[in-house]
Amino acid sequence: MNTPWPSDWLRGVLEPLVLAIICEGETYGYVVASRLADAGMGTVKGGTLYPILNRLEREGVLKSQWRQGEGGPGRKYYSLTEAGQARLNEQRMRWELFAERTSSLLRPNQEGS
Amino acid sequence: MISVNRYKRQLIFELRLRDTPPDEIGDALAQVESHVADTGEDPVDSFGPAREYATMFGRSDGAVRLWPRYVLNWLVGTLFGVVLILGISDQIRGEVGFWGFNPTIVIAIGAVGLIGHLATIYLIWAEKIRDPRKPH
Repeated sequence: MNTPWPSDWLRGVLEPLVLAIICEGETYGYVVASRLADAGMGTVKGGTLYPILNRLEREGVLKSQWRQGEGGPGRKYYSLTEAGQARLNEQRMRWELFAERTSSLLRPNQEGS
Repeated sequence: MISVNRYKRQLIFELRLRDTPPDEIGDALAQVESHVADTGEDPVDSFGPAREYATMFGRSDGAVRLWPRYVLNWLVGTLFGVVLILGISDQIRGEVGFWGFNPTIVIAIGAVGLIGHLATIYLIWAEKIRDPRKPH
């Protein structure tokens, strides 16, 4: 199923997904976008991803460091702060509850339909 | 396909208009450069038009908040420009300048004022954009 997800859905879930990917290990924007695509979330453009990363950094949820690449223009590596880990834990719990309730409402009624 | 350098120039202009701090501009430019190098994509495809992408930075009311500064710049520039034109016009016609000033003095006031005004704008805009990848 390759139909793009509605942008409204993605907007709500991108922050926890980005935090979860960065929680796996220090990484940079392109890898985050690739991981999202590989996980079936579709193509997330730089114009969507970097403002989220910048905001999370401003809020103290992420910290970052620029490193020079070999012959390339360098990359900005992000990692989670303690506040970021706490936010991810909270969002994981809340998302599970949200998804469970949403699924239960969306599930076709066994008796009625 | 637009080159990354051209996109960066457009982004600098738009971010300057929004009064974005130079450090934030430097970081945004480096992110664009790094992402485009990794993906090989057209910067406009990745980030959208520079004008739209710039709205993601700085204060959301940046352009609105700065309108008094734009109006003042326009008024001061126009004032010195008019003085300069009047001085040149009087000089050509061989008449005494307005308020009895010698046209040469009027030209000097207009020219110095206009150059000073433009230099001030340039100095404000030229506040150094720091590249976060370079040691400082």
